[in-house]
Amino acid sequence: MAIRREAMGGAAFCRLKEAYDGRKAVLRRWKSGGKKVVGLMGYDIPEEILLAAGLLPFRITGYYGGERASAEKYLEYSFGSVWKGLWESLTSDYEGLIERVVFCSSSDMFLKLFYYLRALGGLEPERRLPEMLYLDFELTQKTFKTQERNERELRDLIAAAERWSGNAVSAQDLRAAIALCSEYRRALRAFNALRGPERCTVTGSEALTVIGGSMFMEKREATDCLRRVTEEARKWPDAPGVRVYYAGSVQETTEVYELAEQAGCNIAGEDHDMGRRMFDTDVDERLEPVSALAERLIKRMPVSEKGSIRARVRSLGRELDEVRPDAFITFMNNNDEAYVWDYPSVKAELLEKRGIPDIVVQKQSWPLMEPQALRTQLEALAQRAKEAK
Amino acid sequence: MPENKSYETRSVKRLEATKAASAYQKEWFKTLRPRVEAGEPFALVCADAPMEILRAMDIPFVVYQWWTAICAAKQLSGKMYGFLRDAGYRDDICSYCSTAYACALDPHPEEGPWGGLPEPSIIITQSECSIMGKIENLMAEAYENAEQYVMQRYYEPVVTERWFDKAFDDYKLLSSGRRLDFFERELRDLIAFLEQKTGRMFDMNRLRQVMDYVNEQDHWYRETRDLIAKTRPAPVTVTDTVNAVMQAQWQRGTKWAAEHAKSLYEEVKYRAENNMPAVPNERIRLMWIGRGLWFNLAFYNHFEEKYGAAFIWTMYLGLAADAYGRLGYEDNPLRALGTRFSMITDFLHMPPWNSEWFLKEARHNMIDGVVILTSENCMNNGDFYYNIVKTLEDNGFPVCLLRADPADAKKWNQETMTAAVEELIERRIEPKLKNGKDVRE
Repeated sequence: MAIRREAMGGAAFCRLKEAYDGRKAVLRRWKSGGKKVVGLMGYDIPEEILLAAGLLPFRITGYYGGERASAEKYLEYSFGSVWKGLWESLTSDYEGLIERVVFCSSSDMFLKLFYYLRALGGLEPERRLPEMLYLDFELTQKTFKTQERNERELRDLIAAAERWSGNAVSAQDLRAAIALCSEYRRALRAFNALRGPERCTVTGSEALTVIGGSMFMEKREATDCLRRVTEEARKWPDAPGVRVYYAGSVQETTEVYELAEQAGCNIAGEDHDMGRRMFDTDVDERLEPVSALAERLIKRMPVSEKGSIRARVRSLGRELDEVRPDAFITFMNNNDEAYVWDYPSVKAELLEKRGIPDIVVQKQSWPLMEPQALRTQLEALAQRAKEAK
Repeated sequence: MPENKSYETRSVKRLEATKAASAYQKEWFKTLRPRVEAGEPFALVCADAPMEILRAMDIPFVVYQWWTAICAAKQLSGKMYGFLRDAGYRDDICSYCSTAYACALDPHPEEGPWGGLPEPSIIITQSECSIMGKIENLMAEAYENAEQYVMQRYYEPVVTERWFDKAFDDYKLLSSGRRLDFFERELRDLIAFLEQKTGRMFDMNRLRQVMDYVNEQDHWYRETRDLIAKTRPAPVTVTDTVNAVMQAQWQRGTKWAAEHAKSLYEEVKYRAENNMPAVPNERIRLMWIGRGLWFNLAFYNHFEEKYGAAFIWTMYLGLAADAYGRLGYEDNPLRALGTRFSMITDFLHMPPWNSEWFLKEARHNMIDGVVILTSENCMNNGDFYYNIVKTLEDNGFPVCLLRADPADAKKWNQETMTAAVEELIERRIEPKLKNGKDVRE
């Protein structure tokens, strides 16, 4: 099905799609416009701090333009598609375009990428690798100790941001940036509401495009575009297909979602950071800013790798309450398999109890090795969901 | 039932120290079960946990990755992974960590190695990999009476050059003050948990005694490693040292383990002084990087007769020699211990710590070629092999990479793996030896 004609007919959607499809062009434009850009390698780095310092956060995603020669050369088998894509972007596609990158502990693989890149700089000093900062947030334990630790890491980021920008960051600057990002997240949530169970006018691939496209815009423009696309999307026809919830590897392109749509499924919600998890939790604007940012880290929906099995079951239960899907997909890239250990509990405690049919898709890569086989699996899921209804 | 293999899996064992370690472990296990059944606490811990704290509190423990090695050596992996499959989990990933969970699903645990793993009351997690944490969640659920205690990890972007020169003599140079503070607090929190859980009081002087034993044990490992390094042909190979060291490391911090390490040294010394080479026709000295091939230790002996190629180095003795001991800990043993249990992952798995150390050890042990085992079903696998290979190759050490699973024999292809090592020997090492050139030139 892909992106529908009605969506492409709207100016705001087209603007978001342009950003989503042309991430490197955005980066180039920001650079040539004299902006101080900071790359983000991790899903939990508070953009608010960078914005407060007058820096522009740029979410680094993987390279999807063809062969990933650098990743194939330097990385071992255990790096799945997403991680190879990120490596390719940093060491090849974006080389020379990004001068500073912040990593964080959203996945163990970000730590590895950080260490590997630093070592690569030693092996090949002629490379133009960015200056790198690693923030080791604790994201599994929800304790006071965690809160203190994460606040300390955030203060490191503030210090780095001040150094990089030459601007001191005051509490007032932070509050203003927090307000800006909260407004942005509210706009994302308003758009995402159009994927709801009562009336769904947005397909999964359209949603990914809008949510993802907004990441590659300056915040005010992104918020404005999101508001306009929300108005546009209210008039789009209902999205066809069985409502599906997606749990699994992050999807940085619409390839898998589009395939699902062709198979009669519509992904109406997901647990990854190019989708709903981006805007699932607000920063409490009443609190001291650093404390509030650290608190958001604790309150966010746990990703599989960083969440206990119990926490995952609880959080997916809440997701299912909200999204009310007819079917469920667990999708794993090769060696991105934390979900394997959640799955039997999710199946027994959520899916079977609610009568939600599901499939498990494993050992995937980019590009998809066997798209037809995946499509057949998705078609069968759609059929089972229709029958269950 | 143990699985039968079409190839020999039992390695050559020459040392009394190896037999003594196995006998001690069996006896220790025999006494463990009644202690646990009588209500004593028993901990299942990950390999990075600060075992010295448990030792000082006289809480018996088993490192579950080491238990995996025992199950693999007893050819029980297939049976264990069957339990995982039956419970809805995949039986082909994370095998190094999931075996202990599989044991928890075994309806007849007493049929496991050495009378089986007793049911733990404490599970201590300090995971270098997030998946380990999830598997530990499952263990804690499966062992109904077990309480899981999760220690936090903390990384920082500080590189310590030549860590192996600092770890023993001046541990404070290994890390920043922030990281030292962090792990000291983690240890204090763990102690508080253990005191509350067991009703036992922690005694810092007892920990000092444990650390003394660790230093003594590691002293003998350094002596042993250095003796093997300088003796050509080597008096022992890795099939002699792996079990002798690993089983004694299990009892690290005890008088027995320190004395055992000394006896290992004396036995190796006797062999060195009395011209008793492990491989009399030794021409080639090989280094094995990666986890031990537990289900097939005989693989290491396979190349001895045909090529005179002896595997003389693994990380097990090397790390015991360089990474565990700490001098000058007396004023604050917790701070010193913090640098041990928190940094071994860096030393082994992260660049540049790992490549720098492997190169030092390759040179020190007069190595001719290196075989690296990459654990293909481990999500956490990845030590920047490109960097390790380049560092070694650039310095004259030819390398071959094997992709396999050290715990699960079902995917092991004896023929392919043998051919890969033979190719390393025949095409990379032999030609240089025939030309009278040392490969390291």
